[in-house]
Amino acid sequence: MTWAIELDGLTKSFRGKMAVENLSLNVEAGSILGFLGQNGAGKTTTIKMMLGLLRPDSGGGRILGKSITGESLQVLRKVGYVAEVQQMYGYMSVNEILNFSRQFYSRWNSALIKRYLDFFSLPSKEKIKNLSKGMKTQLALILAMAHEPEVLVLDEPSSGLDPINRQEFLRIILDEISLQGKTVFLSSHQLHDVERVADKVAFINQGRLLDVRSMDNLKTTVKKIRVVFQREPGSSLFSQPGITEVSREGSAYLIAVEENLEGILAEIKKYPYFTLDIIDQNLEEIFIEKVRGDRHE
Amino acid sequence: MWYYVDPHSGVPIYVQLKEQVKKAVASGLLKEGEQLPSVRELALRLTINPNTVYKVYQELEREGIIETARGLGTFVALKKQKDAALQEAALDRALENLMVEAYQLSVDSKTLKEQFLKKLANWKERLRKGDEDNDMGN
Repeated sequence: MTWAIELDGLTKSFRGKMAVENLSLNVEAGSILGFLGQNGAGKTTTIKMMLGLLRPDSGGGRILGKSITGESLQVLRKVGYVAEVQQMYGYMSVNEILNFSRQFYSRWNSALIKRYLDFFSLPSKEKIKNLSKGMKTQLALILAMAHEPEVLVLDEPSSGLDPINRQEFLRIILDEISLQGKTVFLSSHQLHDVERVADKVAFINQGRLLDVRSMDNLKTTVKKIRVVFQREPGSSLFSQPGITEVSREGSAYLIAVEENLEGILAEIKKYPYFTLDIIDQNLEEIFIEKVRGDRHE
Repeated sequence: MWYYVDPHSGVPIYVQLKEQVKKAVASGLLKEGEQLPSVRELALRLTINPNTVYKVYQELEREGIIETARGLGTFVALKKQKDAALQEAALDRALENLMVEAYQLSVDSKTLKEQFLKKLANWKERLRKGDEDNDMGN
């Protein structure tokens, strides 16, 4: 397996407050990783360290084999980045910023730029400060893809986009990046977008990585089991590994499972029961449960 | 064919898509030899990860439901080309699940047999009707 992104023990604090703590994470080349967390969880800080825009207190990493602390210029050349807040020179026109940016790169795909300027109907002579928020995001995506990066890093890219524009935005990423075998790091609290396109999901809360798993694995194994037993089962049942929470109402139990679903089901079925339901969990339910569970610990 | 997935359900997208193709083939909506959309086309149409579509096609190919001809595309496999051993294993798994359910529901074997035969007759009837309606040889 080839890793496009390798992060190892990234740590950063601001004025004594821990922002990111010992974060290690690998992203497979050619895949889409969804990076999920609440506002202030440490997503943007992680991204800035990853791109060499912020120096970690400790830890490090590599993007496409280049060190994020020692070779950040080489990293930036191979990465496209759409920041959460678009900081583009407002006095420049769309054309001017494109010409300005191209000096920094040896590769520059003018055909792609033209295609998407037309597609989004972006007025090339308009000053950036006069563009709508959505248009600025679209322009930022074009700028991020223009040098044909191997890795695309997106920090809350869909803020400011309406549902139709959001769908278009995702489709372009699938077409221009994913289908070309390139890697996407998608940080978002737009769970719906992540749920559609991510191969893997990483959950971050209060600066710490809670879990990294494939979306398919999450949806296959994170479940709730509602079971009504005929008589009381042994309490050892609930100490099975993978069970995160058990609540009880009369003879009915609601068992939250995070791993080992098959094993747990096999154990449950050893006791006679009246009904047994497995309740599927979507990404939003899984996300909320994870963050809530982390707070309780 | 009209493909549909609900990315926000608790069922993985690849499972939804795979089941959909299998059902479409079983019901004759997708005919033997019919071409499926390319990975790229389907991923963009559904706005889902191409790796997901690729995984579905790979698994369906392994199960002998579709086949890929290099450079030509992906097609619904001809029935006789299905791997007999795989077919038997898949059927065995399905039957095993049925037995477990029947056992849990305390259904005796006589009732199970009766209901099974009834279901089979019913299914045959539906297939026959389908043939008449659509003139699809089966």
